[in-house]
Amino acid sequence: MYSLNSPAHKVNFLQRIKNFFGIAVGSEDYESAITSDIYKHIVAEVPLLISAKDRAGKYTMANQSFCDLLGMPAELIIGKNDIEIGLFLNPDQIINADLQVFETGQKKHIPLEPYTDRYGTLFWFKTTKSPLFNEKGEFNEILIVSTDITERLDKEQRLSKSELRYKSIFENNYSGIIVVDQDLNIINKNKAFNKLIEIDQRLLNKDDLKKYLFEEDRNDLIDLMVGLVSRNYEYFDLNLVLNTKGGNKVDTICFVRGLYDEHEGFNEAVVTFQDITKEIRNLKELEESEKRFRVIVENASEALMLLDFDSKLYIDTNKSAEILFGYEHNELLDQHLGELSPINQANGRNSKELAGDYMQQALKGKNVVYEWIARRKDGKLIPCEVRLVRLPFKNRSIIRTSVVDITERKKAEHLLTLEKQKIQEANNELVDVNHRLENQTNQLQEFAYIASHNLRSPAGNIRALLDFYQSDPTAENFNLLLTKLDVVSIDLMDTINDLAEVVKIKNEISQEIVSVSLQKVIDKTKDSLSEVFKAKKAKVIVNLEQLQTILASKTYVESIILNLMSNALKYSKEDIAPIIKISAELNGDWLEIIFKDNGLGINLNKFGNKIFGLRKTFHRKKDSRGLGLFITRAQVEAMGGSISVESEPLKGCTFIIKLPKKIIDD
Amino acid sequence: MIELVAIVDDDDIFQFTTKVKLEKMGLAKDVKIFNDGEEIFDYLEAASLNDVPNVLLLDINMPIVDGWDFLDLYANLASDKQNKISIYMISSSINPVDVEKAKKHEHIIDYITKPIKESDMLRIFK
Repeated sequence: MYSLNSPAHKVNFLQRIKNFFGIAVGSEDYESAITSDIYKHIVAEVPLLISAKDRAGKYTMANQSFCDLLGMPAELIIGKNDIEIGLFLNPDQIINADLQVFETGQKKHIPLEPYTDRYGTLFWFKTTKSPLFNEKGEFNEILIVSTDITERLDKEQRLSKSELRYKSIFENNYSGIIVVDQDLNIINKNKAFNKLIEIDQRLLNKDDLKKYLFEEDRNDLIDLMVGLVSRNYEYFDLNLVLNTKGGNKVDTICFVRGLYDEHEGFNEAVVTFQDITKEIRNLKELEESEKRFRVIVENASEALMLLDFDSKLYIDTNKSAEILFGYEHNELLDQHLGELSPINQANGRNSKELAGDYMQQALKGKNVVYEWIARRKDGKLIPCEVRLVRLPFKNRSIIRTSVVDITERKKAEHLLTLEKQKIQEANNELVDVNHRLENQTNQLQEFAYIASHNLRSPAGNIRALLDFYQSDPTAENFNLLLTKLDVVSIDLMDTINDLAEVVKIKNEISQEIVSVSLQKVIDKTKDSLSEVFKAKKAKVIVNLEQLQTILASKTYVESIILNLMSNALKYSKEDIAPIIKISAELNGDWLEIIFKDNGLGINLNKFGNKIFGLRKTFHRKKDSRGLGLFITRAQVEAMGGSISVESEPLKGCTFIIKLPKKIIDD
Repeated sequence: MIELVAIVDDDDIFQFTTKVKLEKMGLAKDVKIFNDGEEIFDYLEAASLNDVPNVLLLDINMPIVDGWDFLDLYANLASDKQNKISIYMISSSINPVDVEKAKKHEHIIDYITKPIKESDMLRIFK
């Protein structure tokens, strides 16, 4: 084993270095030219890491760079193996590599060797291990030379990272991207471009962009490239239509970016294509739909206008609007809001102001509907129904106005109201008639029973009297028969007449309406009852004021007054002269005629309204058939009025007849 | 033969012919006439049990107190008197309301329409 400091060793070593460097330098004359000091200097100073190990793996030599890297002086390295030094992560790998060289006697090249220093910094080395041969061709040491490639590796990694990123963007972009030279030959292209052009991905790259363009676009692009290449500008964009391999047309927006070398100028250009066929199609569809919409609007039966609220001008109108307002299309466009109306609306408000209010509501997003009076060019006023809706324009206030002439509708509405009124009136009448019919039916029923009853009595009596005579036909009985038959027959006749009277009144066979003087009728009745008046010393006090004459049936009035007066006389107190007070007064909608007597009165608690019923008598008077007041009531009601009574026993009766005031003749 | 019959009706022809018939047919010993419900009720109240009639023919339509009103008053009559009297309602009315009312009334034996048939007479008085 040669010691490092032995001259032989030194010579050998230097010789070997010489050889080593001689080969590197490539000079045959190196032996003379280079001294051992220079070698030492080279070995010491060179930035390579140089070391040597023996077969036991222990270091026999280490240069300055190597010591610097390890951070240890040479004395501490030499004589130790890697494990003892303890600064390598993977000593086994190193030792194996050493052994390989010792065994094979061949140089070994290790492209990548990691090393971590005491501070934890990772280094990468490119290492060569070679046997150090002596003259005899033997070796017991290996020479290890390492180059620090950490920085380079880093750069490479970083570059490859960014390259990867770039590649990824390029490859996977949705937009077609190509790289072209100044003649528009395609140097590189991505998947998306192939798809755009409809080319199979697997085909070779070499391609010419000009192939896929139409003449006009091609010329435009070529012109623009000139300026790009000469760096008048570094980028531009334009609309291009690509003609695909499949013969289809693709609308694109194309963005071209020049890439320049600092010294050589234009290098290549990156061209990005954005497919806008969809957008173009949407635009076309929009145009189509707008056209359709136009047709609809133009042909709408209602007047349609678009109002720009900011300028208060109508910016668009349809045919129906022209017809409604009587203006030409362009004349309408000159009109401002509110000018197609009279100054004021029906409610007195100023048209412009009110229209403005409605428009404001519409702007808030409400659907506004209202009636309006519009004014045509010729000045004619038209009732209309107006509908407003705001149209969705971003920065403008556009309101769609629809106007419909509702003259006919208003007429129809009015007629409908009239009809409804008529129906309501007819209905009310029907209800009235119904009531009256019901009343009449009831009364008729009641009357039927009463009539049959009232006729049966005298009829039964006639039968009974005849039976009586037949069972014992004496002369005396015959006289009795005659006398009593007389009474009954009179009774019967009167009953029949009364019933007939009631029927007549009930049938409302129209009585002739004439002007009747109440005073005159009272006087006439007094005359007809003059004997009774005289006998009883009766008196009549009349107080009619202005209500002397009424328009009524003379017959009825005479009958009523006669009945009331004769009742008053009939039911007078025994010894007291009957006084009958007749007065008349206007009370609201009614004319009240009041008959007050001072006779026997009636116990109303007991008899109530039975007094006006049929066949009702309340006193033991032989000549009362009980029909009188029934007839009187029927007659009063036939005149459209009502009759009521107030009375207490022995305090006389007050009859109140109410008649509708229109009956008064003035 | 019935001891005492009361005819309560304001129609004097009816009073006359009925009384005569009863006497002729020998159906009643004594017949009393009343013109209205008030008259008969006053009589019944004042009378001794002996003088209370066995049969009472009651008309509906009478002044002052009619047939129905009388029956309201009748309810207050002493029960021993009530037990003696058989009341028959007689009327020319064929109003089903009256007929129904009479037939349901607790104090009325039967309702008979005028003119009274002989068969009815026999039925009532035998």
